[in-house]
Amino acid sequence: MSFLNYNTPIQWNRTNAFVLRFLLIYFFIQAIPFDYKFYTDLLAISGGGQGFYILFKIANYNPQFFGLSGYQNWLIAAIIALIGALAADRFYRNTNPDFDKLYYWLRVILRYRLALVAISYGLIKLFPLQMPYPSLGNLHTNYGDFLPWKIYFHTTGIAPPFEAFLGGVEIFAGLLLLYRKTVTFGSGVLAGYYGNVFASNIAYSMGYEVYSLQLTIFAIVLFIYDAPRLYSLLVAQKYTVANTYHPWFDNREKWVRNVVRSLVAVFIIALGYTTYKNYTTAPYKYPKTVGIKDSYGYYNVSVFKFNNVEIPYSTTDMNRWQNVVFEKWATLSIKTARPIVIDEGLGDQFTDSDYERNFESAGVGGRRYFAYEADTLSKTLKLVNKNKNHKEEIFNLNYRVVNDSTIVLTGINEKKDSVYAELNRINKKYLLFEGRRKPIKL
Amino acid sequence: MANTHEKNYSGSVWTGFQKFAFRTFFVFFLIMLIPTDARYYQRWFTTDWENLHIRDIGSLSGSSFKIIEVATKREGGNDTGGAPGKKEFKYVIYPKSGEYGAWSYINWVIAFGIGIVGALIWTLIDKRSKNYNTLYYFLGALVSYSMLIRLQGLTFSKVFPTQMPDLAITQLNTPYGDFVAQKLYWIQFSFVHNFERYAGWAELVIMFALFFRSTRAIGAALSIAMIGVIALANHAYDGGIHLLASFYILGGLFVLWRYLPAIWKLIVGEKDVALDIVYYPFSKPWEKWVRIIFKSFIFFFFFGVSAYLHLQNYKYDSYKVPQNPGLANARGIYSVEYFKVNGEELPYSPLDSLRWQEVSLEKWSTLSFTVFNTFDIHGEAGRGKQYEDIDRTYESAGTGGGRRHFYYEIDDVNNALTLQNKNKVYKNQVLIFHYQRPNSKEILLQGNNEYGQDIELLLKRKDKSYLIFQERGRKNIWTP
Repeated sequence: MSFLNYNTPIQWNRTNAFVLRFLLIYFFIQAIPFDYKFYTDLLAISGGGQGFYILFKIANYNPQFFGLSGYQNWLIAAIIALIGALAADRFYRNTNPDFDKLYYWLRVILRYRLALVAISYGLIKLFPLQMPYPSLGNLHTNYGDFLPWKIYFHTTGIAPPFEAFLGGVEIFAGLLLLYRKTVTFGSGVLAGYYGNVFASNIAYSMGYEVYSLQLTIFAIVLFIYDAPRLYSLLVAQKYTVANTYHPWFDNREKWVRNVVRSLVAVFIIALGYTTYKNYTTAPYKYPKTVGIKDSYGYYNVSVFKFNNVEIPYSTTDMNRWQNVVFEKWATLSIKTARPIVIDEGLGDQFTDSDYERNFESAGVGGRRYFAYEADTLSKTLKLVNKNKNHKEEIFNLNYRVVNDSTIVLTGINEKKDSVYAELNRINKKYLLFEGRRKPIKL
Repeated sequence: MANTHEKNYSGSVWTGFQKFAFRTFFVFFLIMLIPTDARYYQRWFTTDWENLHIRDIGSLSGSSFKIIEVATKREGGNDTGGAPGKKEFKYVIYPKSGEYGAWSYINWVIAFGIGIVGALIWTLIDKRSKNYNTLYYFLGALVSYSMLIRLQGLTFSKVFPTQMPDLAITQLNTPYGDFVAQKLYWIQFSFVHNFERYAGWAELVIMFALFFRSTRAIGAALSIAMIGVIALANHAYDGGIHLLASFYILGGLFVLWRYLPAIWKLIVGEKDVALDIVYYPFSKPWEKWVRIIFKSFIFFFFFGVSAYLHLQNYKYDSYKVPQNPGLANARGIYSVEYFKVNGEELPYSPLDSLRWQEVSLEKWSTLSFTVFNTFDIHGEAGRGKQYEDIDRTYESAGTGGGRRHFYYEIDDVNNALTLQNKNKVYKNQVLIFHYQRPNSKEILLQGNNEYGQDIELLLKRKDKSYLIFQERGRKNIWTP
C-alpha cells in the first residue's frame, strides 16, 4: 500500500482513492454527530450540572444504530462506507478530485474529534472526577468483594496527583493534535495511551473496550501519516524527505476554518471551566447533598433489636446490622449478612439525582448502600437502597445524636418490621492514610 | 542540503560547551553505571553456575552508585527485600520524607557533581580533542545496555507472572482501607495475570529495541513513556522502586537526545533531514568479533538464560509465594464457631481484642486472622527474592487493621502446628496448637495465643466466592 511508501508522495490510483473514500465516510460517521437522537438526549439532560454534562457528551459522541451495541455499530458504519465508496468509484471515475486535500480533511476530522475526547477525559482526571477517592464505605469493604473494574478505579483514585498527571498527559496530547505540525507527537502518545486503556478495559472488564479501541484506531490512523518518515529517519537511518503537502484554502474555506477554530477554542475553555466547577462544587460521581452534620465515620452497632427482640453480635444473622458508615454526603451503608445482587452499573452517568449517583454502590458487595433524606428538625431519616436490584428496601427512621460518638436509630423497614440500632463511632486509623513514611501502630 | 550522514567519521568539530557537557555526562554515567564494589566482579566467579537462580541474574545485572544511604527509622522500612549480605554504608541520612522524597536522589546529585569536577579536570588536560564521536557512541550503547540489562528481571517476572503472584485468601478478606497505597498499586495486577503478561511483553519490546542500534531511539522513547510513568507512579504510591524506574527517564532522555533535533526538523519544521550520528565503524576484524561476542553474550545471558530461569521459577518456586504446602485441603476463609480463653468461652464481638475473626488458610503454610487491636506495622514492602517461606511476605506486608499473619509448620504425626508471626516486629511470637479435623469443613485448634493464654477454637470454612474474579455485566451475587 503506497500509504506507507515514504519515498514518494501518495499516488492516487484507483485502489488508494477507494481506500481513502471508504475511510473518509467511515470515520465521518463515527466522528460527526448527525444523529437526531443524540441531540434530543442532550436536550433531555437537566439540572445544575448541565453545562459540564452536555459539553462532555458532545466531546464524546459515538454513533449508535438501532440500539445496537459495541462493534456492531462499526460494522454498520463500514457497510455504509463501503456502499458510499463503491458508488463514488462508479460515478466519479472520470472526475479528478484533489485526493490530497480529501486525505487532509479526513485527518482534520479525526484530529479534532480525538482532541476533544482527549481533552475532555484529560480534564476529568486533571480534576480527579473520573476516578474519585474511594468512599469510606468502600474502604470498609474487603478487597475480594469488588468487581475488577472497581479495583482499577480505586487504585488510581487513591493517588490523585498521579491521576492528575495522567490527565495532564491526555490534555497535552490533545492540544498537540490541534496544530497540524505536532499531530504526530500527539497521536503517537494517544495511540499508546488509549491502546493501554483498551488493554485494561479487557483485563478489568470496564465497559469501554469498544470506545477505547476506536480512539486507539483514530490515533493510529493519524500517526500513520508520518510513521514511514520516522521509520526512514530513525530505523533505516536514511536521508528522509519531509512532508510536502500543504493545504491551500480559498477565502471561503479560510473563513470556515477560522470559525471552526474559534468555536473549538471556546468549547475547550468552556469545558475546562465547567469541569473545574463540577469538581469544586458537586463532583458528579458522588451525591451532592451534605450528610448529617458531624456524622461522617465508621460505627459499630453495639445494640440491635429487630421487632423489639435484641439480636446479639452475629456475622450470619440476615437482619442484624454489623456496622454502619456515614459518608460526608447523604449516604449511609450497612453491613449485614444478607446476599446482594450486584449493581452492574459503572456509576458514570451524568445526573443531578443523588439517588442515581451510584458510583459508591456499583460493582461492590459487602455493604448495603442507602441514600437518605434527613429532616434535621424532626430528626427523621428516610433510607432507600441505592442498588436498583434492592430498591424496594426502605427504612423510615428517627435518629438521636446521644453524644459525639453515639447515634441511636429507631424505626421501621418496608415490611413494617421495627429496628433499633445503637451506633458507636470507632476512631479507626487507616493504613491507606497513614502511609509508609513513619513508624505506625494500628 | 547537508549530507550529514556521509560525514567523515572523525571530522566534526564540537563547540566548547558541547565538549564540556559531554565530559560531564560521560563521567556521570560511568559513575552511575560501572560497579565500584569489588564484590560485583567476584560474583561472576563465585556464582554457583550449575544451580543458577534468578537471584544471581539480578545481582549480576549491575549495582547502583551509592555513597549515602537514604533511610527511615521506622521498623523494617529499610528492608528492601534484597538478597542477604547487604552492604553497610558509612553515611546514612534520615530525611523527613523517608526514602521516597527528593532526598532519595542525593546520590545522583553527588554523581553529577563528580561529573562536573571530572569534566573540569578533563578540560584542563585535554586541549586537543575536536570531538568525542567515538566516546559518544559507546556511552550511548553503555546506557542502552544498562537499561535493558536492569530491565530483564522485571520483564520476565511479568511475562511469567511472578512479580505480582495470585492474591492470597487473606488479601481477599482484608478491607480496602487496611492496605497501604503501595500494596494496592502492586496487587491490582495480582488477579489479572494476562494484563501482567501484557506489561511484561511490552517491557520485552523495550529490551529488544534498546538492544539494536537501529531501534535504539524507539527503545529510549518507549522507556520514557512506560517506565518513566512507572517511576512517577512509584512516587505517587510510595512504591519504593522510583530510583530504579527514574533511571529510565534519565537514560532514555540521554539516548534519545541526539535524535531529537532531526525528528523536530523533519516533523515540525517539515525539512528534509538525515541523522547526525557517527557510529564507530568496527572495521578491524577483532573489533567485529569482540562486538559480536559481547552482543551474543548479552543476548544469551540476559534474554535467554534470564527468560529460562524465570520460567523455571514461575513453574516451581514462584519467588514471592511461600512454598511449603499448608494443611491439606484447608485453603479458605473460616468463621470462628466458638473461642475459649483459659477454658472460658468468649462470645463473638467485633470489638474483642483476643477473639479471632475471619481466619484464613492458604494453599501454602500461612494462617491469618483479625482481632480488634492495634499492632506495630513492619515497614517491609513484601518484595525481593527471599529464601525462607517466613520471609516471603507479599501476602502480609503493607496490611494493617488488626490482621495478623503466621507462618506454620505441620507435625502430622502428633497433629501439631507451630505458628510463628510473619510480622518481624513480633517474630518472637510462637503459637503451638494441637489440631483436629472433625470433618472436611471444620478444624479444631487447641493451644496457646501470643499472650501465653490457653485457647481453643473451632473453625468452620465458608463457601465464599469472590466478585473480584467475576466479570461485569452478568448477574453477580455477593454472599458473606
